Amino acid sequence: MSLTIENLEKENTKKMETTFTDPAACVFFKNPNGFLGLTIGDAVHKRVQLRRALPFSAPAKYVFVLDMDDKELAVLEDLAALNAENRALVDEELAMRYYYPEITQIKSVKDKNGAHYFELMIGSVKKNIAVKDLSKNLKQLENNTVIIIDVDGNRYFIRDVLKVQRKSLRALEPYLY
Amino acid sequence: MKHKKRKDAAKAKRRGTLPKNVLNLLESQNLRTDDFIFSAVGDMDNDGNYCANWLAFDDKGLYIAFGTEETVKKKKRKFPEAAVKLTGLSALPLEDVEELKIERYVTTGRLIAVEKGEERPLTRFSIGKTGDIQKFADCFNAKINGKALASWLTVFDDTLYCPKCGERYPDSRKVCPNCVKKSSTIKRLFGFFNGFLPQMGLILLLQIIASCFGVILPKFSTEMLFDDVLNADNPDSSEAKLAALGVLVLMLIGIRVADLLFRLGFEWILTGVMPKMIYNIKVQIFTSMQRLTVGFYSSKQTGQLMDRVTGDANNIYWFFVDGAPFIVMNAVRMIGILLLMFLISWKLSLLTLLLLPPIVALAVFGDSIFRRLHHRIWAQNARMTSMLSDNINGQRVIKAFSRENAELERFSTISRNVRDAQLEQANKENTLFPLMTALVLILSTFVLVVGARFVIGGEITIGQLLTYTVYLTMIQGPIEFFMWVFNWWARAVDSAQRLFEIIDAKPDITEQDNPTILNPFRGDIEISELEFEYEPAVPIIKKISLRAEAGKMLGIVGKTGAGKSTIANLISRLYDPKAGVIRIDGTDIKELSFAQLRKNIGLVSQDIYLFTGTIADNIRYANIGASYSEVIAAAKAASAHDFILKLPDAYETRVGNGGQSLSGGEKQRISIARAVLQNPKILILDEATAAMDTATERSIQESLRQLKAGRTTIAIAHRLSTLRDADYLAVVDDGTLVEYGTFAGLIQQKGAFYKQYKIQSQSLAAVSIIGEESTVQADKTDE
Repeated sequence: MSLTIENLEKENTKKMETTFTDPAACVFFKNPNGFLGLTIGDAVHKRVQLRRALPFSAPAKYVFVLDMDDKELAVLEDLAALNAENRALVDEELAMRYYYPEITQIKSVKDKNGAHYFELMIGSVKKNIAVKDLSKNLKQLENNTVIIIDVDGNRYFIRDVLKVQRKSLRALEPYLY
Repeated sequence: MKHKKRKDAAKAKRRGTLPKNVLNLLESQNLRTDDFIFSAVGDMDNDGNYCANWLAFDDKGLYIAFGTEETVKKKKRKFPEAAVKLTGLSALPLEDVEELKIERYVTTGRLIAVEKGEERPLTRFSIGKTGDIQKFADCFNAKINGKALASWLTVFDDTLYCPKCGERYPDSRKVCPNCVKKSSTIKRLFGFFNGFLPQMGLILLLQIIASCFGVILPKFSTEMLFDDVLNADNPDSSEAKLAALGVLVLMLIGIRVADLLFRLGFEWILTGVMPKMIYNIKVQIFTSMQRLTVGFYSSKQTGQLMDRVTGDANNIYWFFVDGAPFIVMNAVRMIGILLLMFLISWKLSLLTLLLLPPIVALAVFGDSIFRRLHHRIWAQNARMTSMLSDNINGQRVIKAFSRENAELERFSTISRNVRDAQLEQANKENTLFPLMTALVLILSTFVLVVGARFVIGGEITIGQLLTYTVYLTMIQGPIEFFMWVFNWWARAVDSAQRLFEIIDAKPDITEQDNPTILNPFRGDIEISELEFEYEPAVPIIKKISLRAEAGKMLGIVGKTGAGKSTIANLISRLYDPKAGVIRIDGTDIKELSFAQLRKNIGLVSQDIYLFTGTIADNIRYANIGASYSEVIAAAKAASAHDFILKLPDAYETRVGNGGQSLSGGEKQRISIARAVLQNPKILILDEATAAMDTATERSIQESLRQLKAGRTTIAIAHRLSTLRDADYLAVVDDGTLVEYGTFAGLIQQKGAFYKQYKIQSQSLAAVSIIGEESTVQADKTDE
């Protein structure tokens, strides 16, 4: 394609359009090293990456399939339309990429000279984290999700702060903002 | 001896973070840990479950071990020790691995090995571990490629953890909250009193005297009044009683006046001392803030630190003004009152002390409830404030999309929450406060009843009982003071700690001890194998080598985010590169003196800051001594003179905070004038003309061309027409150098530069075509 304004504009228009891929045309597979691959039409991509457009409110919708150079290969409007085999592979990959350590219990919060030490349970694993400056690193979102960012930049989540145990909430409440 | 030698050798070699017990564990798996070249600690397995994970490599292979770690508290040791167990160990022969790569996901990262062109996942880790694992991978790749380890890799930063208790430091300032000596902070805090010691001594003395007067007063006013003057059993004549009353009144007035004078005295000295002390604190903080580097200000944690400086200084201020000076006074009062109470009746006093615990318990309980409610109100109010500021700043958008009603809805939801929180507090207050008052009342009545029995029994006089009740009320003051002063104290120490952190913070870019002074400073810039990243595993500059000869102009072109401005920041040494060297006249800029480097580099950047003051002041910022004619000449060179003259106050127009608002292009021209007046050997123009129309840009280029003589110019732009005069052009994309050559050469090469040039000139042409058409249409409608 020669470099003319018309061609550039055409390219841009193409970029702006989102056409959802027919889920039946996509066949996901796992390559021998355990990475997710995709066969779409005649093209076989040995490794692809998945991106959610709405990771919080619609995790199973609007999933973009990109190659390793971030070029868009397919757009899945709804993962429910995939067959069971594909769905399992996609879910596994998404769970890996979008892994959110979810806090199940807050055992204690200690304030020592401006740094806060949280004793947390993430599933059945005990985790001690240090958080500096709570006003920026402990956020309560509109939908009662709480995000805590520790001094290393790790992110931890409470899906719904009103649903955690009363004891945990009591430990956390003085710091909620 | 042999053991020690081995230990030392191991210490020298094992650069990494593996703890001793892990090394022992790995030794038991027939690994020679003494041979480890580098090691790192991860925290997950390949499936993303938290577990202990240790990485290491030696000359033969790469080892990845998984295991469990449990802290075991041992009786005699202060800090717990971890018991480690191995659950899996895999070894990859070194010759099989071509490269180690890192991928970043949302909250995790992944270590990937490239084997015969195939990628293979090795392990995962929390995103916070990225820095450590990246170092491991870099070190491994250097080893595979037979390169020497980069200088920054050889010193492994194992000081992220407090050596004393093993806890992670909360930030880069390496102060462990567990182990920091609070006493040392307090000592430093009171160190601010140095220089005011005589005044402080006098204040204390006056306070003690004033307190003594205060404590003695009831002894006269109540005890003497009732027992000597009003006592019916007193055989003295009524005249004598009246005379006694007169003396009593005079004494009372005397004590009151003395008390008042002493109080006035110390408060007067205090108000003289405190502002001076606070001034000293602020000057110290500001001085240390100027020392710190750009990186300090832009890094997330420290940026917040700055926001809090004001709050922290205030905390300390109020503590020193309202808290600290009164500690001694209240202590003296409390001890004095207790002493006098015991003197009146030790039995009654013991009884009172026994009754105290329930009151204190209730107070503490109430305090915890109210603090929580208070916080809730504060948090809701803070939400409301931030929503309000959102609303005010976004008024144009709100109006443009006519969303006033939706905003109103949002506001009432939030303010409902505030209302509910306030109601809840009021309700609790209405139940708890009367309850507390009632309890205090019942208890003091009880004391009074017992006291009355003592009076009937003749143990104490009625005057003594009444004095006792007065003291009982009086002692509440010091008790309350001490109840909240500890809280206040803790907060002040906490604030002081943060302020000392800033005062103590070491700038991450430092001048060498004996910096080189170049004579002459020619301005020959040579960049070799430059690498830089703001965040671990997100490289911004990837091995760029460039050359800008003295007196020549180098243009740097590239897309947004390609790393152009970063190069400018690195040349000015606002940041230090991760690897590679920048040399000026053959000397590494790390060896140059700050003063000479900054004086000779003029940086006109994208974001311009005009200080509060006149335009002339702003132009003169880099060269305070410049004359007005020099200022005007510089403004002319920057094409700023014409628009400045049009302003009513011309060069004396006030700009900056609250002053005349200028357009982006006008600000840019002032900042160019500033750089011109600085007359640096190296001029860096970072998108300096981006906000101007083409005609203005042309005229600036014309004047800059004249200024270019004897000056190295680095111009960064995405608009290629800006760079037409450049002697050399460097095309940067995604942190790498794509093309390098002269304008004509690059056009001939028909590469990336040619492509971009063609697009830009075509779109310019297209714009002008559209322009013609629209004028034609306009003509038609006129007809």
